[in-house]
Amino acid sequence: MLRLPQFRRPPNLAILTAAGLFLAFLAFGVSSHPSFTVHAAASSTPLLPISIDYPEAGSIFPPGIPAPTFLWRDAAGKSWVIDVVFEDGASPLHLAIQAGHMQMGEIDPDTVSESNEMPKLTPQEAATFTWKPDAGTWTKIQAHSIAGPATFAITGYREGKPWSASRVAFTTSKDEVAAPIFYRDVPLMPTANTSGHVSPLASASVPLIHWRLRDIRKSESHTVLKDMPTCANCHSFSADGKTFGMDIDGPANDKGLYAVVPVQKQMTIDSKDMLHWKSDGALGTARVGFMSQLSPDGRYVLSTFAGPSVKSMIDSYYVTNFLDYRFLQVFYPTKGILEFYDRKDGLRHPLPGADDPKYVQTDGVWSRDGKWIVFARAAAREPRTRGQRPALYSMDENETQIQYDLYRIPFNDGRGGTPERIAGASENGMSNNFPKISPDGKWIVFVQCRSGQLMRPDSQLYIVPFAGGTARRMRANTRLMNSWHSFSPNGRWLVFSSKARSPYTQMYLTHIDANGNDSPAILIDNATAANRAVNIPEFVNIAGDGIEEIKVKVADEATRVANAKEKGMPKSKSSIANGEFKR
Amino acid sequence: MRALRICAFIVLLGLCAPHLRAEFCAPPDAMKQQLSGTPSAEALNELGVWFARQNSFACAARAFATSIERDSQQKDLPRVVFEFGAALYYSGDTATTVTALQQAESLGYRNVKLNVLLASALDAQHSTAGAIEEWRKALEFDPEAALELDALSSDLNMASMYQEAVDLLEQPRVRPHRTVNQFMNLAAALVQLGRSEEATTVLEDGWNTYPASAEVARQLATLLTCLHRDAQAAMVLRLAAEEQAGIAN
Repeated sequence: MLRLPQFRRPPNLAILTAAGLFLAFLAFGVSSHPSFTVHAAASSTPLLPISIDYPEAGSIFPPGIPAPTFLWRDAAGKSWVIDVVFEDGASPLHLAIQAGHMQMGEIDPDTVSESNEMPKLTPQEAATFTWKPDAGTWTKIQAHSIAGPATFAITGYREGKPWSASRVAFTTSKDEVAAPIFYRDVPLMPTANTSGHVSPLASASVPLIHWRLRDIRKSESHTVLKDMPTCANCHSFSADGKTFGMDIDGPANDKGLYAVVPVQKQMTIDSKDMLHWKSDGALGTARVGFMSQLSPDGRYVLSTFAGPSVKSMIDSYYVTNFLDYRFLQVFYPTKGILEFYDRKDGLRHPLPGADDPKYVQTDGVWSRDGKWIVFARAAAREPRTRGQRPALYSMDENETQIQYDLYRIPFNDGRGGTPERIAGASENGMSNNFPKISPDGKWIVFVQCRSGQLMRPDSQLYIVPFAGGTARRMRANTRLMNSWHSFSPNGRWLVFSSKARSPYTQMYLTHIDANGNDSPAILIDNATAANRAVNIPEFVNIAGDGIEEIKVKVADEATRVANAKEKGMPKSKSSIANGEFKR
Repeated sequence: MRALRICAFIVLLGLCAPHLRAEFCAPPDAMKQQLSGTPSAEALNELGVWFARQNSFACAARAFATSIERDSQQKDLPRVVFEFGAALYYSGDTATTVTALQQAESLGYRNVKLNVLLASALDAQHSTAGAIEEWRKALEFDPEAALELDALSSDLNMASMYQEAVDLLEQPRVRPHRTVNQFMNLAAALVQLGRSEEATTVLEDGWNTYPASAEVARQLATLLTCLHRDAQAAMVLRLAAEEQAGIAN
């Protein structure tokens, strides 16, 4: 097999780069501002700076979270001393620590595939040193960083002398998180069949998807559901934490089903718990719900449907899958209306104000009082046009481009109303989507990206007043993909997913104060194996151990048979596309 | 229009034919039968792939060129033209590579390798503006690709597009993946923009990431000296010397 040779920069460029730096001094001179220097505590020697990567300055930790792992890079130090100084007058900590190099976490052998890669450290991570305080030390740090920040100062030593130093200040919030996080834990194993059709996950691998519950005061998560032989998608909980809903595929890949069950420690999803998105024809024949959301009281399920003029799912969604496991799917509706299912009458109803077929109306969410719906809207369009070139990677300009705007309407007991555009989250040349309303009704946190929605590499979290106004980019945004956020029931914490540290998505927390100001991202460590991804994290208004197990009895034998037949079919990425020359 | 372009391209093949004929190209015994008489374009393409796998790139280029001449309407023409360009590149003919790969691109062939090879060929031809465009296209496939970021940032600096180099390498997505070259190029661009304090911070961060890099240490020490931070510059140089001695031992 032919491989590209290792390209080098043209030699003349290498020379120019180094020479350019030198020439720049001559041409422009170098400004001589007073430089930032860190001095050793008992010395006037200026020390070299240590790069502290985690936690970031201004971080706010939730009370009770297990000790985080501090991360730094230091070319000078061979050993380190940590001083933690408190503003509340408590005696400072002075610790000579043993630091190790950053390591990858545990690997799940079941999700290793030819179509993905083992997680690996970036150059920055490979140079990173780590320290995790013991439980007693961390408890003291937390206890004395509530009234005022704790300053974490680290000094690097070499041959007994200080050479490097840096410091970072953080606080511990007095606001409890007070609710566990329910999330989906997935393998990233895209597959292609013999005709080259790519799927995000082979049917045979569907049982590898887990659903887990995390009390952030614990150091690990609890698996509540696994070995599902059929596909299940977005989940949703009512605001009171009493009702759970989830898309579950039925026999013969029937995507017209939705499960609604009471939340209990031991839950069972049985046939009697399944809603069928049946249609009498007036609502169209397409029966696939998208991003379904239970109302705060659990009576209604709000979802996106194709509408009466659209015949099937493929006529209303732009879907492209890639063999690049890092961003393996592009998926968003280009047509659709909001409908709500009323569990009292067992019928779907279009929601007036969000049912105009000229638009795609999607991502509908409820305000905590159940009076308002916020949703994303764009001009309806065909998912694909004739002759459209295929997208080869996520954010390829050949994707169907769509920019959503956020709107709100009153629910009005199902009568809806006139949609109002939300200033700050609309008409800004970007796609504004995936809104979530804060429990106090004051804010909307939404995702902004260049086009489309869901799992976009460039997605960033923004916060805007509920009635509209100036949107602010949130401080918690990480370098890569920020999405799938959810407010804690008390509104003081937001959980979200990000690929900041790894293509295998992890989840993070940020604190949000009464004025909507948020803080740098706090990693929820050890949420899954290093080669599995966390997605759709959602706070559930229950005790930390409120769900122990979910049993799904509707799993269909036909699905098992179909899955078994598909075993062995997936082709690896390497066998699909290789070097420049192939036949 | 497309037919005209193909015709012009076939003329080009004729021009480069003397170069391609320079190497003795013996097909494998197993393919001799299908290559006898007037071989089909498909057979010639297979021959080209075979030569490429033997690292006989001039022969591969000749086989692909003959295939294109034989059937300029063949179904897989964009790919074959790309393979022709790739074979030319590896045979060292970067000038013709550029024409061939641009032709493949205009025929609709899309593959990151096309952009990487074309950018490299353009760099070799000192066509920096064109190379910048192709490196950018390659980065759309993978915005974290080290090779493309190294090369593009170098080209941007060479074209005095310093702010563009800073914007490229300051992208949050790129930061954890920065190579030594990228740290150096970023610092150089910042200095050119008169932002020497930021350049120092970048090199400090770079040195903390690559403590064994004498290049980063040396540039950092130079910059610190220029900023009158002599004591720190001396510390960096001493540690770099120790590091190098450690590596040597």
